[in-house]
Amino acid sequence: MKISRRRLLQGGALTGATMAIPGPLQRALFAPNQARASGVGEPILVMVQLGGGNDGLNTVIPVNDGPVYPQRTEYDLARDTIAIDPADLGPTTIGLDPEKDNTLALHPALIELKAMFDAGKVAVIQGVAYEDQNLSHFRSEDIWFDGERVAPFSDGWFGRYLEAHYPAVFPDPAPLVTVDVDGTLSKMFVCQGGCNVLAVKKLSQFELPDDPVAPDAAAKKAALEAAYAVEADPAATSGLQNTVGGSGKILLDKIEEYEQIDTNWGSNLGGVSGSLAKRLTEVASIIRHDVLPTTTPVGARYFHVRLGGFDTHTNQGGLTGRQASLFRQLSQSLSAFYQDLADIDAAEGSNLAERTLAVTFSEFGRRVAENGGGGTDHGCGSVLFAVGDCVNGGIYGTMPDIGDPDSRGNLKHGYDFRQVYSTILANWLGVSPDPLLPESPHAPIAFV
Amino acid sequence: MVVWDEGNVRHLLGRAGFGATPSDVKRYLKRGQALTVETLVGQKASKAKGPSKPSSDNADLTKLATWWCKRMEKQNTRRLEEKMVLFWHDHFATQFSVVKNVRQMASQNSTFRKCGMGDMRTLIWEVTRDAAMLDFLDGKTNRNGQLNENYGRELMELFVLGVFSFDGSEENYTQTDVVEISKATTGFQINDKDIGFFNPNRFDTSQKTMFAGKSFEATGNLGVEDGQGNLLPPDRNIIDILFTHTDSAGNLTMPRFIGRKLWEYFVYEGPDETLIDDITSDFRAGGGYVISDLLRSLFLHPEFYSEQAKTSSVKNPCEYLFGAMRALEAKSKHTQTPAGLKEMGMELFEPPSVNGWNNGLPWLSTGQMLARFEVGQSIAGGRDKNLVLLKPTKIIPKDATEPAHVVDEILTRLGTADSTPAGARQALIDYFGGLNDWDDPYVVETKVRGAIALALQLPEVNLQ
Repeated sequence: MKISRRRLLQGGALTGATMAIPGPLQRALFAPNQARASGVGEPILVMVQLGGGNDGLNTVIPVNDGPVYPQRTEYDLARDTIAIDPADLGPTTIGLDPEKDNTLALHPALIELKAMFDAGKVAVIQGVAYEDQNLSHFRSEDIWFDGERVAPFSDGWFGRYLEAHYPAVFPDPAPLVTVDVDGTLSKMFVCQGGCNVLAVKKLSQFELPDDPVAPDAAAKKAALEAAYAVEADPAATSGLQNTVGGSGKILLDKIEEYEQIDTNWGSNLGGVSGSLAKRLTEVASIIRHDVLPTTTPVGARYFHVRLGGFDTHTNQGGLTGRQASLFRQLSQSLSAFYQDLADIDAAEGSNLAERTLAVTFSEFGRRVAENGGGGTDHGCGSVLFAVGDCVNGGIYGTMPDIGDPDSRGNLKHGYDFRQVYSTILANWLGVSPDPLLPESPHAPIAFV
Repeated sequence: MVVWDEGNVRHLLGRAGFGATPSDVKRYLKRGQALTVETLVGQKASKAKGPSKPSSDNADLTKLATWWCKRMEKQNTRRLEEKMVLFWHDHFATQFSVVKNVRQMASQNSTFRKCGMGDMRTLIWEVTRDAAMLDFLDGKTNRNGQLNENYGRELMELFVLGVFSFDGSEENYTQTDVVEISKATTGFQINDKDIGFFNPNRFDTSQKTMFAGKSFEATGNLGVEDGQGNLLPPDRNIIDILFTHTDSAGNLTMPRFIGRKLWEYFVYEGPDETLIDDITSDFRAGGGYVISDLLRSLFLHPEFYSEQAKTSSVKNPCEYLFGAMRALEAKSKHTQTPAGLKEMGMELFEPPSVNGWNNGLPWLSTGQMLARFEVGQSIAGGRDKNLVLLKPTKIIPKDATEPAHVVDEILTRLGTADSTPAGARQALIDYFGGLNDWDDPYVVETKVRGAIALALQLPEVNLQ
């Protein structure tokens, strides 16, 4: 049973797609560059995966106790060595919890994100999870990618969006609007019919190889194109061969366009160390390419990047250590990314900073209580960031009650994770989320 | 009994190893199916160890990877053993970037070679006390009074049982079981020679209950070892207790879990229950759990030689690279091979997570497909033994008079002669532009090598 198709039928396909266009999107649609090519004025989405299960309780931290909930006291009781001292939280304090009224702060290593928060460019979304949290990395990751809590994994939530809104009929492929900047393809992009998604490892090396001793590039490319035209034809091949043939054809079709993209343009991201900055540089290079006056746009605007290492069973650290150094990467990379977009906008008269929404996610949060190894085991209820000039900055949702965990010692949650997807689909991409998400409806959150 | 032809020989040697040279095909065709399978599964385990020293140096890790690549490319009678080392490295995935110790990685690799086709019980025990694993999944910090659930969870989820029963309808364990098994696996440490050992002083001696309320519930001072280097008796030993786990209908969980994993690794995804019960029947007999018994049943099963079995999976980068080298009789010292494997998404000693590599179609995302194009081109253009040495003159059949003869020889060696569509084959022939003077260096060095590169860039050579 192709679940996504059934859902689409039950949900009445695209009947909701004509809903009111929200503010930022409307501005984007009438942006100066929108006339350059189809898709160029439209919203951009970057999903930033924090792999391994990020500890939400040391991401947004209670600075003190509230009038009813002694959040800070409970936090200190649960965490011997990894608790962050309130004295260190002054510079990253972000305000009061909307329900519990105690003061909250970001982890001190998230200092650049705090500056963006102050500028109204960061939404902090607390207590996001799903009922009956699965504590397996891989099963929970599948649930996040799919949007469906029931096994097995069938297709990705974003893959269903692509399939519904960018359909392909052979020999015309769907327009290529999605790039995974991780070499491999995230399951969030998987769809039943096989979506047109490019996975890029390094744009700087994105070209067909040749034999340096006996070069023959043009003839070989012509032969490959002729062969792949056959391989991708469902009349000539079937099954896996056809799928791989289709994938190869995308590669051959797109390689000339993508090898034109300049990745060495003096980005702010270039000064940030770590793999996330490298991947975001690829994203920034692609969207920059599309607003340059002399280039042919490639039209990609949905992206996935991943930063791993958040599975901090041991030596998680507090003010410094494993999680802190990952946060430093995350904070500096996202900040530099938006600085780059602002610089491009200033140079090219574009509005990329306004058009680009970045949202973090992770397969789960971690246990309230620290374990014996200075780390935390798998838990629930994490915190997400939505970043960009387009977001309605602020704190959304309340931090779960630290003193009242579930029977497994894990935080309870307030938001279902599909509410985040629903917000992205409805408020950012302007489509009806219900046909694309199981157990709908999921009320959008006002972060964008 | 299947018809023992060249196609079936290539199919078996592609799965139970890393492909076939033309002389492999001849030799094993003569040997017949039963004897060929027995040759593959019946070898005594090798004690070979890679070059290693207690080092966290990436160059030393590359030396170890190079050593392993040579074995994967060259092993003959022990080719299945090397395939199983790769399988277990994927199954018990451990990352050097976390372990940061080459000697520990080498020792784990050698454990997979020594125990990878033997008693499953011994293998799980060896992995539980393996230094690299104790580092990677924090087992060395898991002690009485200070539990760390990392290893205990993965032992059940990824190594022995799986999250769900075979049909996905039942959860195999609870969070309570994760805590209990974590208590039972306390006490392991790593000594100054980088070897894992059990320290009874750090062991949680409390009463533990696994699988409470189930027919196979076990209670007592459960653990793994007795402090003298012996496994605890079956009623106290957590490995044996895991092996008694069944679904509600009474089917043993571990044989189905491992049986399906092996079938999906070697053949295709989504095998049915009956097939897996079939191939694990000898494995289960008498509670022996000898892995080579399972492999023998798998490679002798008629379904292994079905059309679906030959066309439904994607070669992993090692299968692609070493398979191409064997088929084309290319040679290498493999100093650069680990880097090539990394580009294709398979960095040895650095699987992406404890769940191993994402096998199947994810290998061929556009980004990684481009990396295969590059590796294919490097093999075809190989003129240096330190990298790759390939002699195109060897590939040109003696009686070749036209480009089609050369193209067909390449496709036959690669095992893709039947699966390549006529139009794609024609594109390779057209690439020669009618040139057929096999003494002309331009034809040999540019066109023959070019056609080999193209054949290594078509979908078929990635599929099996």
